[in-house]
Order: sequence, then structure tokens, then C-alpha cells
Amino acid sequence: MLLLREDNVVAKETGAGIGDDVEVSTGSITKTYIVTAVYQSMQNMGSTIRIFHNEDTKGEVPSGVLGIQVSYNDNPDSSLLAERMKLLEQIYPYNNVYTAGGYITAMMGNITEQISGVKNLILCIVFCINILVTVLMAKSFITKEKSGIAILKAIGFKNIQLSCWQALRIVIILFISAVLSILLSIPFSKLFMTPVFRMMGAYSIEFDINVLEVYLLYPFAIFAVTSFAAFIASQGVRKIQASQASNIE
Amino acid sequence: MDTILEVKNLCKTYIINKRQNNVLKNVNFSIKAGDMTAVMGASGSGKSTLLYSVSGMDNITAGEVKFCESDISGMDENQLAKLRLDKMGFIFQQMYMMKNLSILDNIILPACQSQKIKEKHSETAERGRDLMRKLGISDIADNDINEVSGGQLQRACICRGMINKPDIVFADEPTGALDRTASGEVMEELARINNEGTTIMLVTHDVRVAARCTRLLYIADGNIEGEYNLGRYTGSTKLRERERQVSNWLMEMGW
Repeated sequence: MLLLREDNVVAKETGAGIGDDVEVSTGSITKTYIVTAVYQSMQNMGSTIRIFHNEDTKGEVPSGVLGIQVSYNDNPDSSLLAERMKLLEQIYPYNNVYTAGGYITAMMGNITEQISGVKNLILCIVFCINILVTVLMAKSFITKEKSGIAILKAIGFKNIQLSCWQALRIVIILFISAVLSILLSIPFSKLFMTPVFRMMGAYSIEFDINVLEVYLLYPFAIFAVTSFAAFIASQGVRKIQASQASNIE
Repeated sequence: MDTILEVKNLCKTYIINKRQNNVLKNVNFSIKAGDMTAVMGASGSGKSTLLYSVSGMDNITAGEVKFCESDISGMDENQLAKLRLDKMGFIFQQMYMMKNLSILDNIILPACQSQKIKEKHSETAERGRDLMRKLGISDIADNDINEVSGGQLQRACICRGMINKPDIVFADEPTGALDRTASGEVMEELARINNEGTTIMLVTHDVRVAARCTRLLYIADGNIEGEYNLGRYTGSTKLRERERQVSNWLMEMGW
């Protein structure tokens, strides 16, 4: 019996489905199996098959075996599992012994930790870009509206009111953008990331969203930093004198 | 008549490229309530600088400026902004209005900002419309600023300057960007407003504008060199005569 998946790479290549007979050659031995189920895997870019766990494989010499999976029937707790892992290390001193999770981490290179480090760097870069663009935009608005600002000062508007007006325009757009980004982040993540995982053999991905980070922390951080930059840049209105109202072109 | 503006030994100096430029030198004059005073002089004589200095738009270097018996020379920026908002109106040569607001919204903008007159927005808008009716531009209330003529826009600027019922209106070359017909219309409106009791101080180099004023001040090299009392302007019938008087006086002053 074999486990395949209709969108499994091997299933696609062979055209085999549930109930079909397939021949599997291992070294010099060829056996016929019936396909009983399908699954997906990211190992070996999805190109894997699983033979029924009770199959006698002592006679075969599989080539290129990356590992042997040991499944205990007595549900050992973590301390007992650790003892058994030590025993296996003594029996097989030239092999590495992992838990299931540890094996995946070793194979995939601990993506979570790598991403975490890059995530913070990307956040800093986003902050810098936002600050730069915001300052440039605020300055260009003030330069463009110099006459209007001078007139408003002449008729009695205060610096704080004018700078809040300039900053608030940016903050309002920023708020709308943040809300839209939050709403679209999940659909867009699924849209762009699913094909990437599909290339690696995983066809059904569930996204484990860190709600605090995605919906609260990062949007708030970007909003706060950009708003602050907008307010600081808007202080440029102080340089414009009310008497410049007469210099309008 | 009460003195609304009193200026004593006013000096204004600019430092440009490390060189000191004394634009105003010990200027002394006063303006009484109800006057329409024109400041005239050659280009570069300090007319506009004088206007901005006495209205709090520019800091003075030395001297004293008393507006309604309050010394404004020691006020900070926020105090001056409040003073300009509540007690002064401004009309500039370039008729600048906010592009994203209608004419009426531009006119009532200072009123919405000021807390001098406590009223609802609809009441403010009605006052704005009332002012526009008096100046003959009630039909452009909802227009964009690009949809009106120069004369209409300047009259709208007059309305904006009047919306907070100021004690004085300062005008810097109010007809400078207008043609002869529009200039005449705008000056007639200013004269009418003055006859109704609003004090006006304006800067001009146009004899036709000055002829409608009650009093003229001649400024040269940063100082008031002469003063001429024309008397109140009562209508266009006497305008030619008044223009002649102004021209003769300016010639005596050396302009």
C-alpha cells in the first residue's frame, strides 16, 4: 500500500491514484503496491512516497536514505524519550538522533529564527524609508503652499495650527493605508505565498498569524513613527513669515 | 475720535549679506478711528515694511507700536496672531485664496478660526453672504476661485478682511493687480466701508486710490516726510479734483 496525493509530485508524474497498483524498485528488488491514500510533503520538493509501516524492508538496501524514523507505541513522555535518544546515540555513535521537530529544523535550516532576524531588519528599513518619504513630501507641500501659509499666518492662524494641518493630511492618509494594509495582508499573503510553497510540494498551507504582531504591533509602530516624522517635518511652517504674503507669485 | 494706532520712533532694520539696511528710521504717526489713511512713496521707500511692522506681521527693531492702547511691540507670535485674527483685516495685492475652498468658505475662514463672535457655522455663513451682498458679489459664493474675475476676487478678499468686524483693515496695494475699472470698483467699496466706520490703512502708489482716502502720508527713505488731509470722500463727483490735489501735493513732496 502506498500513500500518494493526487497533486503529489510522484502521483502527477506516474498518473497513479487511489486504488491503482504501482511497482516500486528498491535496489535490485521490485514489488507491487496498491495506492491507499495521498499526502503532501515539503521534503525532497514533495517527491516522496510512504510505504505501509508494517512492510518488511529488511531485505532491501535502500540507497540515499537520509534517516530512519522510529515510532514508539507506548507514548513515552519527554524524559523517557530523552533516555531512549541517548541509548540510540550510544548504539549508533556515528549517527545523529533527533526528535521529529528537531529533524525538520535540521533539514530546513531553522527558518523561523532566520526570518525573525530579517524581520526586524526589514522593519528598520521600512521605518527609514517612511521617514524619508514623509519628510520629503511634507517639505514639498510646504514649499508649494508657501503663499497660502503666509496668508493664513497674516490673517491670524498660529504656527501650531498650520503645522497640525500639514501633518494631519499625511496622518489621515496613513491611517487609511494602515487599515487597508491590515485588511489585505492575509489575502495577499495567501495569494503570493501559496505558489511558493506549492513549488516546494506543500499544496495546503495554513497560516499561523501572530495577531499581536500583524494587527497591532507593526501597524502601530509604522503609524507612530511616520506620524512623528510628519509632525516634525511640518514645523517648517515656522520659517514662513506672515509678511511673505506680499511676495506671492 | 479715538486713536486706534499710535507709532513712536519706529525703526526696522534688515541684515542682508551682513549689511545693515535701515528701512524705517524713527517713524512717528498716529491713525484715528474712522480714518482712511494712504501711505505713499517711491518704490523701496519702506511703505509695505511700515504696514507689516505696525500690523504685527513683522517684528520691529526699535520703537513702540500701540494698537488700541496695547503695545504690540512686546507681544509674542501667538498673541500677535490672535490680534490679527480678531482685530485686524488684511487685503493684499495678490488675491490669494485657498484653492480647495469655495469663495464663501474662504471668506468665513477667519471667522471659523476666531472665537471673537460666538455663533453657529450657519450664522457665520449667513454673515459672509451678507457681506458679499453689500459688495455686490453674492452670486459667486459657491464658485471656485478660478471661476471669478480679478475684481470679484479682490472684493471677496475685502469680505474676508471684514468678516471678523476688525478695528482696522490693512491693505497693501489692493488694486495693484487689477485693471482700471476693477480698481475703481474695489476702491469705491473700500471708501464705502470706511464711510460706515471702518478704519483703513493702505499702501499705494496710485493717485486714483489715494484720492479716495481721508489722509495721506508720504514716506521717503524710511521716514514720514509729509502729511496731507484730503477730508472724507463723498462720491465720484469730486474725484477728479481730489486726484489733482493729491498729484500737486506729491509733486511738492518731490515724488
